[in-house]
Amino acid sequence: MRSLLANEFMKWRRTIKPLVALGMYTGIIVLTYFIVRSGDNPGDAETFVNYATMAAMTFLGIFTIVFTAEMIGNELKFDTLKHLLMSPYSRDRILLSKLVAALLIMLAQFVFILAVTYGFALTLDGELTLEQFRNVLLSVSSGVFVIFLTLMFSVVFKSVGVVIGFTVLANFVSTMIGGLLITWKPAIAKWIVFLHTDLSIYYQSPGFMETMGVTIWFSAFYVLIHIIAFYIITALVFRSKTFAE
Amino acid sequence: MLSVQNVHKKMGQTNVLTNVSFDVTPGEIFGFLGPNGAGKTTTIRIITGLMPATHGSVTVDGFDVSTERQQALSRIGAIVENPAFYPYLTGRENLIHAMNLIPGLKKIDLNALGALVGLETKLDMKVKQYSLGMKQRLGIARALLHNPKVLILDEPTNGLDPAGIANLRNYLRHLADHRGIAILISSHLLSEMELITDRFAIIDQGQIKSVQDGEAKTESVILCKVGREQMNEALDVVALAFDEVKIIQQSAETFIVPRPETDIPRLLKHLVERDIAVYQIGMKHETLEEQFLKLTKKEGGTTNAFITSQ
Repeated sequence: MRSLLANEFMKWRRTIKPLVALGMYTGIIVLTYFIVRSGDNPGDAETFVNYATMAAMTFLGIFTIVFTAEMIGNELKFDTLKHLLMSPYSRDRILLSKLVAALLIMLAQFVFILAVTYGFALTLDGELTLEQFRNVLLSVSSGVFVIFLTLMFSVVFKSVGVVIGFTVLANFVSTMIGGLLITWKPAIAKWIVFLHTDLSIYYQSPGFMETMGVTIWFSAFYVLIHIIAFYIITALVFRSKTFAE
Repeated sequence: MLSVQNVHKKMGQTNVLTNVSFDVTPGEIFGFLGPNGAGKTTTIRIITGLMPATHGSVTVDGFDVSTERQQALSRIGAIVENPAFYPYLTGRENLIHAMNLIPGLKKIDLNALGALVGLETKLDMKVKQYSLGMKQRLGIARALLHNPKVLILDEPTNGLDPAGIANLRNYLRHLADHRGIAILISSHLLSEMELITDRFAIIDQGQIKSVQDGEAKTESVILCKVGREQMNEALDVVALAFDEVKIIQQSAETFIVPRPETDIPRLLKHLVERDIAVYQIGMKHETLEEQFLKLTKKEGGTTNAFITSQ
């Protein structure tokens, strides 16, 4: 398994995209820093961390979709998937290595975002609380969810573009419809999984989830059921598909 | 070493392969010949575990590909369809990637492997800068990386220049003779296959039409060239001398007698006795191409997808 993970990391880091991603995270954090610091009412460290992580996490979500979609999409594009499937490792193990690599790559970028953000935050006035750190950590749950969703789409569709499009569309449309339903039919809205993926919302906008009458444990369990279901579907498709032209 | 037994593949309502059976023994180069769409690549995909057979079995060194996947596939090195690589990685990184796909593989001297296929100075170039021939050689290096017992090459001469093809031929011969590797080569380039293979199977429309060994690889006939003005007389003489043998006039000056080499002196004697001037006489071997066309009944077909030379 370690050698399969080494392959995935080698393929990831040898493209230009990781550098672009890290550059963009740094860029958006630095921009936020200057805006917060040089505004008419300069913000404190807590305000900066809130805004900087929110902005950087949006980019992280997009790059996570791209990197995950390319994990299988690029193998199809370069016709290299056959070499993975011809290897003595089982298909289940190949797929698992891609999932674990996607999770670790997302977490590594998340740690990078935290390090840069908190590094800049130390130069600002005001205290950084553990509660805020907890909220930032909880927001990573949406990244985990999106990896499972993208991986599922990527074994079904051949094109990386289509996989990215479907994942973004599913996120966007479901969140939009969910937002409407919260106002008019909160009892139905609570069954839309996309409204539960960011667990930090329970501490940042608690009223939002109270409207639906759900708890953080319900959301965590509901998201868990979905990612398990997504992975089972992904594994079944990956196991049975020939991936021949 | 490699045994394919009664493999049948059905896709939808179509029988893509019907009872395909053959064996490849250690140290043997086995040709798998057929036109495009005959079922060569499907067979190779089944052998390499990329696709399950509907029924039938494939074993490598006694291990079944479907039930003992790890043991079977770790004994196979293959290029399927075309050599595919990550273009943004170097040749060396692509080989490292392939090494990581084999469980328990000890460290390999990649420079020595690169030298073996003539890429020693090019291993640190990105694969997107490689020519097709270089990719083909890198593909062979990758297939040989783990010292497999069975080497499967799907159209290995594609993209190689004549010198590259000759090198490959010599190298494969060396692998078969000195390392005892069983080599399966699929191709539609008959002239190349004729030079490389020890035995061959011809597949068409998903069925093995023939499996032949090197000894019986070609049928031979006597080819004789005489003067145009004496052709009719020569045909009469031969018809009398070789009763019940069908003489075929090939051109205004040549005819064929389907008899063995030992009959040449007798034929020559009859012709000379009648003062027929013989300009040329000798054995003509039936080419693999002629055998193939005979077996697949495609003689003279305008849609024949078969390529006989590069």
